[in-house]
Amino acid sequence: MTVANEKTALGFFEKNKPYIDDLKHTVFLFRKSKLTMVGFVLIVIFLLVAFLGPLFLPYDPIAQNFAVRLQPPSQEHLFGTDQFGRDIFSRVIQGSRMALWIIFLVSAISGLLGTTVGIIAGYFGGLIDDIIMRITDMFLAFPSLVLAMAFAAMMGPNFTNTIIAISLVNWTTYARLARAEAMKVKEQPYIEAIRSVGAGTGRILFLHVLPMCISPVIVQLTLRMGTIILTAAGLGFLGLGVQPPTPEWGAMVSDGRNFLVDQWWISTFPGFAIVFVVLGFNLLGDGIRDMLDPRLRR
Amino acid sequence: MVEPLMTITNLKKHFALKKNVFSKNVIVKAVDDVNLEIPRESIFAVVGESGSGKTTLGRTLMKLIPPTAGMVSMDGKDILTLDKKAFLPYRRKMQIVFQDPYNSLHPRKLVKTVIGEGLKIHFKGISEMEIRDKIREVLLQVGLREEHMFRYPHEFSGGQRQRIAFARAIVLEPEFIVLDEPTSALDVSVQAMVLKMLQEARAQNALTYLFITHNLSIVDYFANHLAVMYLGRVVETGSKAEIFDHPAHPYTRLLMNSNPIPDPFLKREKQVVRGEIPSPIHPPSGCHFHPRCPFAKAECKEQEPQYREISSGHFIRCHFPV
Repeated sequence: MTVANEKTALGFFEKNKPYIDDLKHTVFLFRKSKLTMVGFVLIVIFLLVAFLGPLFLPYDPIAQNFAVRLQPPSQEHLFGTDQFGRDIFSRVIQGSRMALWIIFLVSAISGLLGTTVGIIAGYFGGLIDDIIMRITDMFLAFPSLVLAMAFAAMMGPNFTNTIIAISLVNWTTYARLARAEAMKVKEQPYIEAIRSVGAGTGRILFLHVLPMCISPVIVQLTLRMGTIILTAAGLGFLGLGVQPPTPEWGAMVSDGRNFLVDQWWISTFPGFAIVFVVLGFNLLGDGIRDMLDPRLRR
Repeated sequence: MVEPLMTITNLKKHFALKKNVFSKNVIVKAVDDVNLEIPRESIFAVVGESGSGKTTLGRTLMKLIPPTAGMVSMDGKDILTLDKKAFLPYRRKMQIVFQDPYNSLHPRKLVKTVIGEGLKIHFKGISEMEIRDKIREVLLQVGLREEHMFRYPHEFSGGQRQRIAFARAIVLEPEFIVLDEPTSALDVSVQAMVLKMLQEARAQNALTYLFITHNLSIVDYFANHLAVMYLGRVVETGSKAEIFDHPAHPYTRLLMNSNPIPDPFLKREKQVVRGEIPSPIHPPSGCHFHPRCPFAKAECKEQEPQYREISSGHFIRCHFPV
């Protein structure tokens, strides 16, 4: 039979053909949606700027130069300068790195925590579910920014605590989503089928329930990345986030608010940066949701 | 008689329905006092209307839901009382194929993963190559092709999915398979092919089937033993030939009479089952079937009939067998 010969001759590409085809299809779906592409381009620009931008800064983002304070946008200072004479363009670019770190760490921490707790609550139900859900209710009873402020104020304002504070207010969303999905999935015959094959609880939970719960969580994570930046910016604006002189967009907007009427550029450019990234994540998040839905795939 | 593969003794599965905090809990006896002997390498059909408890019986046997009381012994060992670890080898020996082929396969997993997962659980240290060989073998056996193992379930038709579900069961080399209405979601033409495949696989692998269905024509074609369930109880059981030739329980007779015969010129007495199956929450007193039974007498209303043997291997639960 030819089958046997083929089997031994299988190269890497042939062996992984189904996965590669699947990937190709994903890319195809991705390119079909214009808004997703816009979001994708925005985020790619953001990532490029965050990774490479700080290597090509025209000025030191924290060096003060009172000779050029409050300069309007010009050739030398593309976005103008602030009240300490720092170049806003350099600060906005340096700030993107801070924003990226916050997004990455908060998403990883709150996504992992939320999903794990959520599928446990949803799959086991009963008392475990009740306890976990009452805890999330407690978190959800406060507006998220207020709660993040409380945590940040309690632990002291710095970078690490900003991450922890934002993660702590965010994980409940993912926990609820993952729980709802897990509750739906655990009733499905394919879960009963794998139980009848003899799979243990851990295997069922992480290899069978989790993959079905992950796509709404990923979408929500992408959608919430905008909100995370907003929360971080809010904390920065209130002075509870990353501390000066480290450039952080929210704190920069806050810096400019006393000068808003005459020196509009101080707050405006970091504000645009926030809009740019939040919009990008929202468009991308919507696109990813459509792509991951297996019913819309084919 | 041959030593039975599985003996079910007084098996009960009751569900407690909690309406609200003020009312008493209502008990639904989904499976009530079932006694059956499933002979080795037989096809044992369980028939009954919707809500008669046949699916619950299958799931309880598989230990997918905990029983309320009773014993199920396989190879002389009560499998229901075994703990998780001791039960694992029996898990492999008994498998189930579900009714709904569209939701019984994980939508995000390749066919290879769906079928191969059980191998990884039960045969520790099995190599990827061995797994693939095994999967190829069962795929061919259920009438699919080798390359199908790299596809996702949604790329298959209902009949093919049911073949995959069956492949997942037989790859573990079980002795006993519960087939829970495996063809009722399929087109008639596909049904016949799947049934044929099941029959061939049974002969090839020396399997025993518990075949849950409501289709008596399939039972006639497929099974060699039969149990009729009504409201959680087995009302009649015996060999297929015996029951099809001499149905003793009025309910069995009515079921057989209401089964369509594919011959428009064949005349027969019209006897339709009156009414619908009563609610299992408030089952009728005495014999559960008496409100619908054309031969019911006063005694049927008051006294519960005993489960008794009327001829060798032919059991019935009725005061006045026909």
